[in-house]
Amino acid sequence: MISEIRTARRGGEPTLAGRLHRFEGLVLALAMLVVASVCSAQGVTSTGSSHATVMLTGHADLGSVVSIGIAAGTVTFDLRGSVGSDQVCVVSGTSADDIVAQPLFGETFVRPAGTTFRVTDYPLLEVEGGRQLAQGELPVSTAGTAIVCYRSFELKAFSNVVGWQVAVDRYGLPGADPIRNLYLAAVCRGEAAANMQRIEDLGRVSVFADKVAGSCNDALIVLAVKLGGETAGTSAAGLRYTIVSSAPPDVVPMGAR
Amino acid sequence: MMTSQERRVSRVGRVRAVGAALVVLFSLAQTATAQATWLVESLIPEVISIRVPTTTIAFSLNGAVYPPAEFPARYPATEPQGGVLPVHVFSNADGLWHLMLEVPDLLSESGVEIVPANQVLYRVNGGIWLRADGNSQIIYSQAGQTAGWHEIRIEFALELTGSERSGSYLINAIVSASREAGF
Repeated sequence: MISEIRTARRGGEPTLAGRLHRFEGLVLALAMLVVASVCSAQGVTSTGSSHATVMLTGHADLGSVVSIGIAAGTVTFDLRGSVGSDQVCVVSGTSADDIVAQPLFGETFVRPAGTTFRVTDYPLLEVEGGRQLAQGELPVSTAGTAIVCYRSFELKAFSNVVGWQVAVDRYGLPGADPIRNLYLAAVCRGEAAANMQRIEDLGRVSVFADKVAGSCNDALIVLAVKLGGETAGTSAAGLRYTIVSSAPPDVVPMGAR
Repeated sequence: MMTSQERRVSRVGRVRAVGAALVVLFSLAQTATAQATWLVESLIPEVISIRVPTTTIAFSLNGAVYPPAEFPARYPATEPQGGVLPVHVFSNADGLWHLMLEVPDLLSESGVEIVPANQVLYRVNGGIWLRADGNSQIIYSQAGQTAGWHEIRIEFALELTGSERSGSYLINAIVSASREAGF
């Protein structure tokens, strides 16, 4: 699954036949006998004076399956001060990212320019930190401040095998400047928040790595961009989502149904 | 010393005597047969019987139908055909009889994973869907003898929540017919 992120800124004596007929009749009778014996072998009958029981057995086969689907092909951050956009932008009093946790191995979680988000009423977001821009207000930052905008879209990820995760790979789009500062987080439905990871150009981040099978079928992918001196026009990034499991699965694209 | 003629006469006489004796015996025998009284008893045992055309239930899900767009999702049994099991019951005595179904939890081949019994659903003769609960449940009752084999159609479905681990799960179902002693 692939999505693009774009930021847009301003810019008888038995005859022979009789014998054959009898012969065919004999063959037919034999054939019926065979069929009858096969039928009785498949079924079962139980009889008693007041109680009878039959036992049925069988199996339910659930193949190993992973599946992924996203609700948006293109996510656009419109920074032209347009009214009616469902993105949330804030002006933060700092431009530096806060490092939330830096494990010895694995991801680095950050707060873009000190901001974070919370899912208030799924799938609606509330951004914490900074002053929220009013509808139509131009995203103008001053020295030592930063504009950070958040958007989200729904992702359906399914796996019935253990050890699964979604890998997000970033790649460049020809004809467009790259987005300087792009962040991503994944929140399972029912969860309020998740840490964000910065995703560099041609970089990769993994999400849902700690989720067990079936625990996170519906999720929000939250994207954030921090304006970092991009020129006027459109800046873009391509993101490819790949669900990976430890068992060889039958991969099913959800969009096919 | 008998002459040959005397011997012939004597032999004819013996033959006649034996013949007469046979006639008398035959007559006596005819008389005895006509006078005999035979007790004829016809005993039909009191039974209740159940028969099914197959003893296999299967739910085979592949990538074409699974996962569904939304959970929970129900899947009809892929075996027997059409997901319907015709159960035939024969009872030839008075009294209330019941058909009962018991479906335990589904157990994976490894014995570690289970699908709870209440995720197996059934309905009788197109009625409402009910859940198995791991115990024996009365699913049909009728009073009196059946007129020949009485057919009851049981449909099976499996409800999946999305949390089931992949694999093969063993299904057991016990179908019983039981008649009460009398009203």
